[in-house]
Amino acid sequence: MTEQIVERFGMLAPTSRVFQRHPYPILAFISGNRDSLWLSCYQRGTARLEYINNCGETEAELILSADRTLAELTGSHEMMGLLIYVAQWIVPDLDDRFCLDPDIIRAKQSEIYQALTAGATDVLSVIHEFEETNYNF
Amino acid sequence: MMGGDHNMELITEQIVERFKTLAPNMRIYQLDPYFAHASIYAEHDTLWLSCSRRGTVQLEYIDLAADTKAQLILSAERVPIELIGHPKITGLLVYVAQRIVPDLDDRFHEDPDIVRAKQSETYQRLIAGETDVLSVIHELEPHILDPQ
Repeated sequence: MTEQIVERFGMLAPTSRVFQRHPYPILAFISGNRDSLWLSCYQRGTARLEYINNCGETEAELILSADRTLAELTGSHEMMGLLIYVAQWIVPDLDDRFCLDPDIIRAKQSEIYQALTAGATDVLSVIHEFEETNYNF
Repeated sequence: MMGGDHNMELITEQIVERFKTLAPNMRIYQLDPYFAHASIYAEHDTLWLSCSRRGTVQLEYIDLAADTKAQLILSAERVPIELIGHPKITGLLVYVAQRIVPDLDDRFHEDPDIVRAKQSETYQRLIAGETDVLSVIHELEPHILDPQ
């Protein structure tokens, strides 16, 4: 399952790389020009998505526990939209509680999420867009 | 998510206050009602605490190269979601979690990884009062420990 998640993450952008396969967590990232989107897959099945800016600061974070429920979601509305889109793409068996979570429902209304699901933009373009705009918490 | 927003704010403050009592060189980087980020720093290595809006508590041991050497993630329900790292360091993280999180779930104590970490020499010495958090970090600093 973890391999599948990492593989699907790699399909999201041409700039994706696997940074570390051993030891846990398995780390992969999609790099923009300055910012990057990191995936960490842990030993117990937890998956973490982090949007990291060029200062190395985490600007948005989404943690899925092994039972595919949402443990954590922080960041701006638009960045949450990106992380949720990516989570839905890479994790095929999300729990119903994920989809019903109020924060998830709110973030799905973001312009970024809507554009991604409509195919009007892609993950790398969104990262480039964030790089140009100073999104804060 | 546990309780209401106000409860979460109080619990987070309590966790940071308890973290502060563990070592003299503790620094709070960020503290607002829904997010806290604090660290205990030694010569090279640092123990980071993050408490989030949804109630997740994370403890992370970071070395000089900014690599995460061990990590404990607790859900808002106080159940361990993740525990990685060498037992010498996870023993430290489990000890700290027990000191700062007042309402750990029974599932925390029964978790096999937590039970293993408690068997470590580090945890046993901390519990016995033979050492303290900062001394343990100082002991760990010169060594490169591969996570098990």
